[in-house]
Amino acid sequence: MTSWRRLLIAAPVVVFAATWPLIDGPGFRTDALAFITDAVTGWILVAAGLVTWSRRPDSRTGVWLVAAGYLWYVGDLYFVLPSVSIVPLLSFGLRGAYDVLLAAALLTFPGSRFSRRPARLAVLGVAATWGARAVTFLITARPGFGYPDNGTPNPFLLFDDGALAHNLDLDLTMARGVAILIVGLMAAVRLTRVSPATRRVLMPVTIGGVIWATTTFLVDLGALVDANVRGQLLPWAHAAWWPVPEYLVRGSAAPVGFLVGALMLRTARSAVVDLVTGFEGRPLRARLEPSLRSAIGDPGLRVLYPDGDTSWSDGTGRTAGAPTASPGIAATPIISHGQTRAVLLHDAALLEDPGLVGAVTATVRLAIDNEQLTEDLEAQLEETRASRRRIVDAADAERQRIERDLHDGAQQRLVSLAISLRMLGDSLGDEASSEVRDELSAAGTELREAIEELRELAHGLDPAILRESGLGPAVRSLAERCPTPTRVRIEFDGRLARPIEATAYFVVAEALTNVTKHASATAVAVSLRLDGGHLLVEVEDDGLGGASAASGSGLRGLADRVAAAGGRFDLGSVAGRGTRVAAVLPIGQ
Amino acid sequence: MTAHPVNPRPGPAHTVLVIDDHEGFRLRMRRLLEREGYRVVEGVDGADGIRRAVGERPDLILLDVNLPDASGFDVATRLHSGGATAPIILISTHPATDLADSIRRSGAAGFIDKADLSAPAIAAFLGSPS
Repeated sequence: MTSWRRLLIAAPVVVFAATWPLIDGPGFRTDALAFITDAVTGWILVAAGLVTWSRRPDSRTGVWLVAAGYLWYVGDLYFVLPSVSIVPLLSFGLRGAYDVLLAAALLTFPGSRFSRRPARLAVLGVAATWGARAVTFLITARPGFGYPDNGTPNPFLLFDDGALAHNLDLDLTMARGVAILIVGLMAAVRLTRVSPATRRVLMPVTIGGVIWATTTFLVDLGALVDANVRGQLLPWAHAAWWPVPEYLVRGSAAPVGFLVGALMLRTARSAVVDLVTGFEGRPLRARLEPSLRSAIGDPGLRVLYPDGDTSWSDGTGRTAGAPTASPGIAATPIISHGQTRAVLLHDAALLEDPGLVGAVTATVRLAIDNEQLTEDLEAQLEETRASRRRIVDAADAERQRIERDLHDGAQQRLVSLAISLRMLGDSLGDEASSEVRDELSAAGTELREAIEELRELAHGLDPAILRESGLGPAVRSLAERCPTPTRVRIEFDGRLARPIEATAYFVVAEALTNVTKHASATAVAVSLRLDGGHLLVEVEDDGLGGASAASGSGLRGLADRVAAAGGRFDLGSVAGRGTRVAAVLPIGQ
Repeated sequence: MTAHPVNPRPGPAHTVLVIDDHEGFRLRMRRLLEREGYRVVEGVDGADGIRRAVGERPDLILLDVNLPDASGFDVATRLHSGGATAPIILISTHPATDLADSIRRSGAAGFIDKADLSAPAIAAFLGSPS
């Protein structure tokens, strides 16, 4: 609550407290209890107005109620300032102004628009009868007749006829009573036409309003009829305590109704909170309709989504007719980036609260956009993952192709050449000079080394043992080749998918290469095991540690390769405490 | 797994079937073996090799591990199941250690690294000429 709203709510209390000692003048309502009741009634109206104002900032009803609360006190000015100039005249002449604003608030709460033209006319009727009575009073009332005389003449007096003034005042007051009664009846009818959610809030307001309208009419009627008749009809109306129940019922019923109704009003914020809470989980489409129904209290609400250019479907995917507004049903589109993403078909009465509808549609738009963004992001992520897998697969395929080419081409030719050289050496026998034999022997040795180097190269590209025998034998073979004593523990049998075997193999191969090159380790432990649909690969040494994926392309490449296979790569390497390379790879079906 | 020669000069009655898709290699093997008195027949791939094994009834089969239409291990298995009695020697440029499991499963009589192929190495699998 802002500071000036606090001031508005505090002002009546402060004024009341400050003026309390002054209230001891002549008049027919000097009874303390009646005065307190009067003061509290106005304060309740101000409070109801401020609550409404806070919860429906777009609505003028809150302002009207605050204003009505302050106008309520016009009739009390006389008690506070009985001897000041024309205050008693104005106090008596203008009293009842709050009725006009109360009538307007009753037929618009919690919005600020009159839903029907007759409602506007009825309020205008109240305003007109109040205005007519006020003007008539000002130009006909004489001090001491109609209002207390404090020695100040009525400067507006045009017709100094006490009987005429009295009769006109009674008649016009009665006319105002009738107008208010009509407003009360219209409020009762309105209650039957609003949405269930609005009806819940309007119920206390309407009850209070109808009591206010009915008692006002009855009191005005009682004033109009002969005093004797009134005495027979309402014998207690002359009792000293009568003003208390009169003001309690007539004055307080509507303000209390408004206050209760205002407190029941859902703020747009609370509706949005409910809505967002209801969006938990997916898919959003299936949850949107029930969440909206609950959040804005419209059990008949529907949400339809465009399917293509002409067809529509509901949250369950069932085909639906095109959403169109009809009597009592409003169609509110959810538009995002120039496209209609959904249409809400809801009780037209909700439009009385544009703040709520605006907040809810904005929230739904955000949720739909968010879901779309999430779907787009997931699709892009999946595409990125697939792309990485394709890159790794393509690289593997290329390695295999190169290995095959080496094997089928260069290696075969070199092997054939080696056989030819051997045959040549055998053919020459002892006839060849030692120079030729030495040269042939040297050529044979070179050739053998070339074959061996080519074999190592091919092995590094696509090890035949991995292809033919699987991960276990391939890793054991790596361990046997490793100069550092390597213990291998493999806790599963059988083959895995080739990409998984290849990734795990290269993790172990790269880790052992790093051990050999950098770790100065005395022992290495390699572990392969299956756990819950994953292959766990670990290579741990007792070397220097201090390895970092950022410092070398080998480990970085391994991390990328493991990620491309949908796995996790972990490097633990503290200087002086060895290195642990681990990968967790999903083994799929 | 490379055998030591036990009979460096087997008799001319021995027929060796060389199954390898590499023509240059087959030519070298033909020259090498014919010079040693063997009769050589050739198979250019797995299917051709199986046909030759049935038709020529060789005394020894040199079978490349990498063939265009099947792996040498599969061909060895099919030859055995087809009733071939000749010893089958798998040959490859891959080291024996890389292929040990597959060699064992194939039922082959032995394995010779192509780089180590020689008449004595082959003769070791044939024993004395009949």
